[in-house]
This record gives sequence, C-alpha cells and structure tokens, in this order.
Amino acid sequence: MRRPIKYQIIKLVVTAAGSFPINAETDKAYRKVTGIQFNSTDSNALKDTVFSKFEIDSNEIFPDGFEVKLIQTGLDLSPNERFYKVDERAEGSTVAGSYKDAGNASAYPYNAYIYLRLENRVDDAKAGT
Amino acid sequence: MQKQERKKWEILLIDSIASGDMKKIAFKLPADIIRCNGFVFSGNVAGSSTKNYVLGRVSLFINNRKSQPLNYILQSKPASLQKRKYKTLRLEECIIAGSYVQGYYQDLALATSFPYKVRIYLDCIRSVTDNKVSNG
Repeated sequence: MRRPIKYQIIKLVVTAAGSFPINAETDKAYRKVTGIQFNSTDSNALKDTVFSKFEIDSNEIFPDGFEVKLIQTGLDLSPNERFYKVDERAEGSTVAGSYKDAGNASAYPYNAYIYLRLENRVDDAKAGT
Repeated sequence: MQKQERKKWEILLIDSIASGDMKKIAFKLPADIIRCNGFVFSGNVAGSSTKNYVLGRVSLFINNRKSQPLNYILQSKPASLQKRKYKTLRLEECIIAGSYVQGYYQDLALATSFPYKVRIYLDCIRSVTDNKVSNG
C-alpha cells in the first residue's frame, strides 16, 4: 500500500543574482498538494528574494513580489508544522514559477529547496468516488 | 462553471524608507477581491536588537476610513532569529470589496541600515470562475 504522505523536493541551484525558473510536475500517485516549505543553504540570500510568481495547477499561490522568507521557518518548529498550508490538485499537475534572487547571498552558488507535501487523504478519496 | 473563492495575497510595498521618514499608504482593493481578513508585515532589514527589533509604526484605516483597526509597532528580526511561521494578524472586521486601505508608515530610526523596504501583505479572498477547488 502506498504511503499516505509524500514529500516532493524541488531543488534550485542559484548561481548568481537573478531569476531562476521553477518547473516541476507533482507525483501522479497523489491527489493533493497540502503544504509548501522553503529552505536554503544560505540564510543571507533570503533578504529581498521573492517569487516572481508561484502557481500549482495554474492557480496562483504566491503573487509577484512575495518574499520567500515568509514560507521559511526556524528549526524550533517540528517538521510537520513548518509547511505553508494549501489545498491544490496534485495528480501530475504543474508547479510553475520563478525565484528571484536579490544578490545578497554570502556566496554563490547555493541551493534552494522547495518542499511540497503531497497527500492521499481519506476524505479526498471519498470525494473522488 | 461555478464561482469559487480562493486565497489571494495583495502586497503593498513601501520603498526607500530613510531614517525618520513618514510614508503615506493608499491602496484600493482590486475588483476581483471579495474581502481581506488580515495582514502580515515584513521588513527587509532588522530592527536594533537593543530596541526589541522595532522598525517603525504603521497606522491603517480600512473600508474607506470607516475603521482604524490598526496602530501597530512593526518589528523585524534577523532571519537567524526567526523561529516561528509568519502568521496573519486577523482583523475582526473584514476589509470590504473595492474599498480603500489608507494610512501611514512612520520610521522610528531604529533600523540596522537605511534605506529599507516594508511590505504589507493583505490576506484576501478573491472570486474565480472555474471548477477547481479552493485552496487553503
């Protein structure tokens, strides 16, 4: 039996200040995207770093100019509490957007990680039948 | 086709804030916004650690100046000290469609560097015509 939760990772290698496209497809075996979390290997890089846009299944999650730091948390929170909650269709939907680095990282390149929490909830399964 | 409600962030950017500046805020909610439930504030520099990370003061009127729900001291911590999630400061009274959000931001000369930016995020609900489910 498939696990009810999967964490899908979108990794960006940020080589310099500028825009970096986010393009991914959610796992077809999961019905919903229920959370988004961000982390990076350079905490200084987040100053003025924004999403130009961030969409799941063509639905806007974050608009142009939304600071990435708003979806990052400290390590004091338990892993389950770190996610920004959403409720979007997964099932192979597209994740599209753009990550705009403002040039404040301590060193380049650095890695940026966007974590998606994918779920097959019992309620979703009932609604789909 | 059916109407759905979806979350939408509206961002008010206050740019180039110098020491002691007073910046006017005037923002009309776009037509597709049904209501807004609250705010999130964010500064791109930290406030002074000896002054409890205070950056400035924001005062906002909503619903075409009918209510003044907010007279708020804005604090901004360095990213390394940010432990929790950013959470929406919920308003008891919603901001209604098509109304103005007005007010001012006053710098209190406590930022670690100048000029800096403050962003005010409005946590809103908009109407969309599609057959997709609403997001969180």
